[in-house]
Amino acid sequence: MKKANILYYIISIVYFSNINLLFGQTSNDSLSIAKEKAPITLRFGIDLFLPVTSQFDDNLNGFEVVGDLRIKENIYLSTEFGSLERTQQSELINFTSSGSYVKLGADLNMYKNWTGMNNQVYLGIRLANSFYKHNINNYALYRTTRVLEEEVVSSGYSTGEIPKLNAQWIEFIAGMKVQILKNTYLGFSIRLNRLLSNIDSENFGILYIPGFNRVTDDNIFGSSFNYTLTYSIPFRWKKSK
Amino acid sequence: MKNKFLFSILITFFFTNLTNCERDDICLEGTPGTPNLIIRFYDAENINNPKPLRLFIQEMDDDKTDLSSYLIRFLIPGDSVSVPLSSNKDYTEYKLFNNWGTNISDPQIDTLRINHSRNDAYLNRACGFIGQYIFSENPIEGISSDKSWIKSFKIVKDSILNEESKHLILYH
Repeated sequence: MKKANILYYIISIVYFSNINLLFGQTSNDSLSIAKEKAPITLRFGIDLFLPVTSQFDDNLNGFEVVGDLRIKENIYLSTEFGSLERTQQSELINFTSSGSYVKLGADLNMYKNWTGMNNQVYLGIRLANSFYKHNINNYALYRTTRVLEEEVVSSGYSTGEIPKLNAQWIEFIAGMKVQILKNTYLGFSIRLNRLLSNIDSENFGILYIPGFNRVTDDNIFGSSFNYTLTYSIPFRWKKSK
Repeated sequence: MKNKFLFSILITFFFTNLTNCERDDICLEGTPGTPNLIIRFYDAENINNPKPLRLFIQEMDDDKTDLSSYLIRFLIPGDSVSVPLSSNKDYTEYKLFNNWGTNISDPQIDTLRINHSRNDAYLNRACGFIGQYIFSENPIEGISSDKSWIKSFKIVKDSILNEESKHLILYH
């Protein structure tokens, strides 16, 4: 026990003194870096998750294009644009959602890069808008008494298209982008979505919004994620001195 | 850097697992489903009195030829029965056997055809749709001929929205 305590003591002393050393180091570095302006960088790419899963899942078809523009040392303007068609069986209802969405916002890079490095661990925010439609392919009526053979309603009644739906939401993002090759980045982000407004059909609840993902019944929150592969083009505007 | 990447992957899996099973995946017990048609049998001579009978009900369906798949119900002396109505068609047909098992030589069989239309109301994700039936203008066919044992009918409620009370009276 005592030995361990002594060890902790020594380790913590070494640890804290190192931190002091680090602080001293970084403050010196930042002085020299501050003069060098970060280049404006345009970066664009695609989401990897959707096209890959589209290959394996017949009921899913979609893509997403992503892009960002570095405007300050650690601030990026970001956008995502995507299109999605997905058929799913939700309990008794089989339906297809299809539509496209656009997300606009900004990312704040929290990662302190060394000179020349361009990795990102960021927090972001987006405003998103999705135009979509639903098609109810078939459904079985909900019955509490047992019927020998459940009949599926596949035409007429409430089946068919519910067009011109529209939803807005806000996304809170945590993510990262890692440079894997020169100017090429692999990224990953998780998103917490909060619905702002949604056109609700009277005779069918909205169960899925392209871009937003699954909508739960009495809840305005959702979640999503993406894996991105992006390519960046750095450029500088010449400043007249 | 690598650790953080792994960590974020772990978080995603955690997230996706969380969203896989939620409260609204289960339709709450006690939620009323698509209502059945409740029929009561009354005396044709004395129209205010219920008249019990031994009834046997067989579902009529063109697609189903195998007897075991038929919907079959017995009513051993009673005066009310509830039967489901069709999900796909605007009519439902049942074969009604009177005094089942007591009079084999002279079976009393009526084919009751119930004409209805339907609206489906959306409840929620887990329960989906429930049917709300409305009797058509010519609601009941196949009875009140010379041979039939069911003499007449009376619509008590125009629409079948719940199972709280009878919708239809048949007199015999």
